[in-house]
Amino acid sequence: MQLNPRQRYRLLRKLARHRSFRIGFFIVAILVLAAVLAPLIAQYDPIAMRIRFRFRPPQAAFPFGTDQFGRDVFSRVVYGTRLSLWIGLATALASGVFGAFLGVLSAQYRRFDALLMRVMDALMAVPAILLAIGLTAALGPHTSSVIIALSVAYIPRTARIVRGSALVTRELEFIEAARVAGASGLRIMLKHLLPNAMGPLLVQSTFVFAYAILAEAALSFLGVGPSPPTPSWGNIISEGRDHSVQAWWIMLFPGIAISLATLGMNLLGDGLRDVLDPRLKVET
Amino acid sequence: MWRGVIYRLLQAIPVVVIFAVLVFMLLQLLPGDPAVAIAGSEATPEAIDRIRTQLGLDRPLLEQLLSWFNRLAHGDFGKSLILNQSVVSAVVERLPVTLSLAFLSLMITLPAGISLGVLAAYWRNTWLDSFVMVTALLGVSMPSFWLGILSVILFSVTLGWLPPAGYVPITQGLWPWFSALIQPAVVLALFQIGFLARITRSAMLDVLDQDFIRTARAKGVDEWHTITKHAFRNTLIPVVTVTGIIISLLIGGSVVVEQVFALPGIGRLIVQGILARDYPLVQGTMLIFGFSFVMINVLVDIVYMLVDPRVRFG
Amino acid sequence: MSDDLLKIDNLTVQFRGDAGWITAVDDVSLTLREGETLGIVGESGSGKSVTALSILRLHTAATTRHPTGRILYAGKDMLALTARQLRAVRGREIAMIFQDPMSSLNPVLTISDQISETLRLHQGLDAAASRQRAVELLELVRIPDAKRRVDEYPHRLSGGMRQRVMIAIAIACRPRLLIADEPTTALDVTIQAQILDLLRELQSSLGMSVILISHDMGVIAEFARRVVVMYAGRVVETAPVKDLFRQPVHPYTEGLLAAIPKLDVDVTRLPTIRGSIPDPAQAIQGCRYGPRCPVVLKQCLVEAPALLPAGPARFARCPPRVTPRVAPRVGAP
Repeated sequence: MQLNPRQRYRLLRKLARHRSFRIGFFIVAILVLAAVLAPLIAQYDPIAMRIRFRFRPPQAAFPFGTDQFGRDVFSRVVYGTRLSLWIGLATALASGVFGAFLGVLSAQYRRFDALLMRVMDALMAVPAILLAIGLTAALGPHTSSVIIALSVAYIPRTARIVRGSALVTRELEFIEAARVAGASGLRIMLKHLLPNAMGPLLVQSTFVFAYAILAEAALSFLGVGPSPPTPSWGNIISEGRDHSVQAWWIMLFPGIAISLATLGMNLLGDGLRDVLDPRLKVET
Repeated sequence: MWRGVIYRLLQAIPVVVIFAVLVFMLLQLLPGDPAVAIAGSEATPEAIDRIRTQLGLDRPLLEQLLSWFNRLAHGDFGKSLILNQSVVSAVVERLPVTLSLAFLSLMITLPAGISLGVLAAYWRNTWLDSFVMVTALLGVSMPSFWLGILSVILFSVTLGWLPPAGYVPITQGLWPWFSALIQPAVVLALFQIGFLARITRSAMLDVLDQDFIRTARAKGVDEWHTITKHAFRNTLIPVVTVTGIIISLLIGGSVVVEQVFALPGIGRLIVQGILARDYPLVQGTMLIFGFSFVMINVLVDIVYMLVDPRVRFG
Repeated sequence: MSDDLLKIDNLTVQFRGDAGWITAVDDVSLTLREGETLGIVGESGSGKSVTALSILRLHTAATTRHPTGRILYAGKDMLALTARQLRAVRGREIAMIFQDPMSSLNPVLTISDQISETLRLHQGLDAAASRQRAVELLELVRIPDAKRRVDEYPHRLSGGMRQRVMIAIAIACRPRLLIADEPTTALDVTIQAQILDLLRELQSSLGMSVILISHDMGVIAEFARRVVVMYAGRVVETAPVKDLFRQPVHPYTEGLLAAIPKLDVDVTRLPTIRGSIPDPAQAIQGCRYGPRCPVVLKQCLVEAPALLPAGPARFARCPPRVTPRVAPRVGAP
């Protein structure tokens, strides 16, 4: 997708008019603000324990109540935005970069393609979440392992999408012309195949962002997510789980935050897909 | 047609082989000495040595890989360290739980997801469409374990309608089995329903815009038959292709949901193995998962050939 | 006139666009007598197909409206029929064939399924009888080896064969009116002629009335008895085909005729009409053809000319001129 300024303007205007994109953008913008301004929004330290205040239900002083250590759930959810969004963003970026690289490479070099695509098929032979559980467990319960594991889990899907798009581009005449003119493989990949796959890649990365937020929560719940005390939405829920019956608020609110963030990214992705790539219908 | 099936089966072989290599390498991924990682840092040197020889970690890598394949070729998927039982028998023991859950969930997902998608497409751009699509989007946006816990609080703790956890084999009665599984099955289905409804809707929209739908109407076919006879089968073609994805999501989701509802299924087994660093168990279970999944995808492609006459003869 | 099979009065068709309703067909009237062949000709976007689809109400109801007009078929107003009454007309009394035979047949149903459907629906035939009849129909539209073909799926047939199947479906219930919307546009030239021959033959043997829609003046000349020329959603001229070819009144008709390749004249370059059809979303003052018209008058740009009598049995939307029109360069076919 090589765009001149006018095309870019038209695309942006189309996006700005797209209803689900607008809603998604609004939700994501609010969450990003919450992450950035967390110290200003949260009234309490998200980590320091104050046993005196434990298990307070939602009230004016603690809008989301307090947990078993007397920590303000609202402050923890606000701070948790940072880690959860970071995991989503980093996973989307890493799987996007590596997926694009592998996808373009395998569209350009057919011999490499056969092997790589079988490896991708093999990686996709286990559900992404299972692959991520296995990898995080092996790498240890750190934020970085979660990001690496989720990226590896989503790279095959991204690579497939980029490869598909690049294969179509490869058959176009101007690529043929470039090849005849003696352009190197690298040049064709970077100047032609990659830019033309940008649309589907962007859409896919948005969805990966959404999945990564959900997956982080699932990993935390299973005990292999980023370890406490630094709050992520996932580990707040998993810490609140044992008290879910008497103190439902501990896990209710971070769950809402996850749903909202995922919803926002999905809406954003739907909008991008409608505008950038109307043919792409199947996600994951 | 038979040639297509055989070709598809042959295609699956390299995938299975590569997958086996990847699973084998999982052990090499462990930081430091795998034997120490498995035994735990507080283990005695003797215990570590025992594990090392037991798993053959003292031999060269290539030799390990070859014996790995040799064992797999003989149907030996390893032996669990914590269960004192072979992986295959552990999986077989838990298979009914996971299959029951997946089956029930699929029985909810397919009719619900497809009919919601068809409805939304038929009444596109109406309030019904918006409502269905927002619901579908919520379905794919909410963490299933969180929904599961909320559902237990509501239906089991507060209302007392359903058991909060545990599995009852179907041999002890249909209703106990059903009531134990319906809650996790619905929770698990929600995500898939959302996914399937979105896919079905867009497939249906594509089909409804096709010329042959107009032909059907011009023939005097009523709306019901236009949708069910002319549009629906064509909609199924793209929908069948995502069945593999649905099953994958279902299996992945069941790992989490089994944990919430304390269902002793394969998902729980694998998590148990991971948390106990029982790597032979994890590897064996993953292999069985992966192999079955590759086979499911082959089956999906065969069904696809049956649904679409253009592929059947191609 | 009581022998009018179809009478369209002042039909206007509008579609919902992003910014309000867009008029695709504007105040169109036409009549068709029993057994007659009417040609509707115009460029794409002229509203000819929209008009045809309106007869069977095949537009998406939610995004289409008809602010004015009636479509009287055998005395019934098609626009006022209930869904059930409409279905009884579709496929039984009025049948339709479409431009693209590749996409007009359902890919997952056999030829037999698709022909039988109409028969079972309207004539209540059972499975065996309708299948038998389907084979006969395929033989009627001259598909070789019909007994075998009937059980095949559409993708096994060529474009010309598929259009024959479409025709077989259309004539299955012996309709009184057949609407053929660009039936040969998607086909090779040699196949085109065969399909037109088949249609002509079936028309006379079954005694159908036919509305043939085409952008191709050559096809119209060969097939139709009377012609309606449409431009930008309006009728600009209507005349018996011979008169129209002998002496077109509207400059647009003249332009269309000039664009037909002639075998007896050596031309290096075919004349084309400069400019393009106006965007229906944009309002135009005066004659819609004004911006492209080589002989446009000042008054035409202010007020659109009305459809006025322009000779025996003919009308044109072009003002009578003081100086006689240039003698036509085109001979009748």
